[in-house]
Amino acid sequence: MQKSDDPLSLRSYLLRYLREYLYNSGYIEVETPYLIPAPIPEAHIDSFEVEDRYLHTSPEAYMKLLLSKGYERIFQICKVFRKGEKGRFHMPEFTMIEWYRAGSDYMDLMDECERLLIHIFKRLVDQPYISYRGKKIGLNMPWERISLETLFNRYSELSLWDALKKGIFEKIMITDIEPHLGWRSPVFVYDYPVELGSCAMRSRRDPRIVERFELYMGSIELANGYTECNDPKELKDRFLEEIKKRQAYKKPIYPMPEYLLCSLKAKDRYSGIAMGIDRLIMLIADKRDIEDVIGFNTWE
Amino acid sequence: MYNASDLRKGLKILIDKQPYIIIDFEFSKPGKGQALYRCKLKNMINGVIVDKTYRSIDTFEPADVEERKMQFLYRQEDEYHFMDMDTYEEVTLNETQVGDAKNFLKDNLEVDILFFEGKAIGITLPNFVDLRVTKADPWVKGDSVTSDSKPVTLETGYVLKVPSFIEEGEKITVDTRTGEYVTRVKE
Repeated sequence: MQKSDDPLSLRSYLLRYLREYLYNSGYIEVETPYLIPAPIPEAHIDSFEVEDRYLHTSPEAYMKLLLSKGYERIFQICKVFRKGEKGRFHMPEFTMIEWYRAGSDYMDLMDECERLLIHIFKRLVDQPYISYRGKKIGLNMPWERISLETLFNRYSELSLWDALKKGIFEKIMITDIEPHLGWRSPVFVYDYPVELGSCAMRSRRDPRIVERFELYMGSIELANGYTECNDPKELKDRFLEEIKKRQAYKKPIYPMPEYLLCSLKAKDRYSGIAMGIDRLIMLIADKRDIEDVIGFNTWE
Repeated sequence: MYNASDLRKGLKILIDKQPYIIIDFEFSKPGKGQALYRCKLKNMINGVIVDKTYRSIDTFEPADVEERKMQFLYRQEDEYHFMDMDTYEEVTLNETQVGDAKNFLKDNLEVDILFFEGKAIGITLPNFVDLRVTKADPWVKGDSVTSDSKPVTLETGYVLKVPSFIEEGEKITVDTRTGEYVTRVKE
């Protein structure tokens, strides 16, 4: 039996247990501005403009500013806003938890994410699995970890690099790869091409790759994390690349987030992760559509 | 002109100059990549269903289609005549355009006629239509033991199976989507 079959009560318990875990692990909860002078440039994420500000698409930029001021373990639970994203797993306004930890890399963060979710699942579900869409997703640790390149070799006729070159990375992901992900147990997919992780640190093994991962459960992309790139020069070059792509797609161009670039220190080492709260509730409550787990859908 | 972000269930768009309606829609955006809009579309003229995947840069022409309530007047050879009861405008559909709906078209029946770029191209019936039984074998008491249904002919010439207690001259309700008997109409 779950704590409650009502998604709103479930949300309340979930938030409580998330905070419980993070507080007990030495994190402090922070708030950062929702209305910001410039979002992080991303080729495929659009912001809502409000007068001369932008609604944040994630709390990333200002949380990094806090890290640069010396905060070592911080988390935030907030609403974020992404224009035009509306579907079974997307809402233009949704709830995110994001946390950062100094002195850690993406592998450490996968470990922590695993422990955090186990903590929550133990309190919210009685069985050692999550029932979703008629299947049982096992929760026994350790959860599977597999590189994105291996996934392409396993499920697609094209290599990851050829798929990117041909511009069909996304199509292969959604039709050939995602349907297989995270059904036996949750799965961490790691090591993404640099063009798909503009804020992540370049891999020490392969310069085409960044230290980024995604967590999938029941084919749902649940969390995204990386070892952060803190070199302001490299970061600015990557932001310019993203802006170039936006120009090519004739998308609105936002100002460069200089407020972030000017306070980063290249030697700082930390990693961060963002997780979709609504999707996590969909999984626990076995709901098909994100609108089944939010109180009000104002986008009908 | 529509953008990809306008795509949703029920939207009518033009593909290769033909009107399509979106019958299923899924928005995906894997791994910080670009958004993909997966659509199942039905051709509004021939009913053929196709799958398409669009990107956020794609744009679409709206299909100029509208539905109007009209009354069935009469059939002349393979032409079916309908009239708009407000404007008295008359349109005709041919046998192919009417399709299976011909089995349930009785005089004065109110239907939805689909117009594409000003021309009538299709018909949607009410889900339930009452029709008179014009030919049926008489019901013999005790018969129901051996057979609980029998074929009858309706005023439109359509033949279907009904419970054996239905008699010639009675009216029955038919589900036009399945073509099956629903109930006897008390008169």
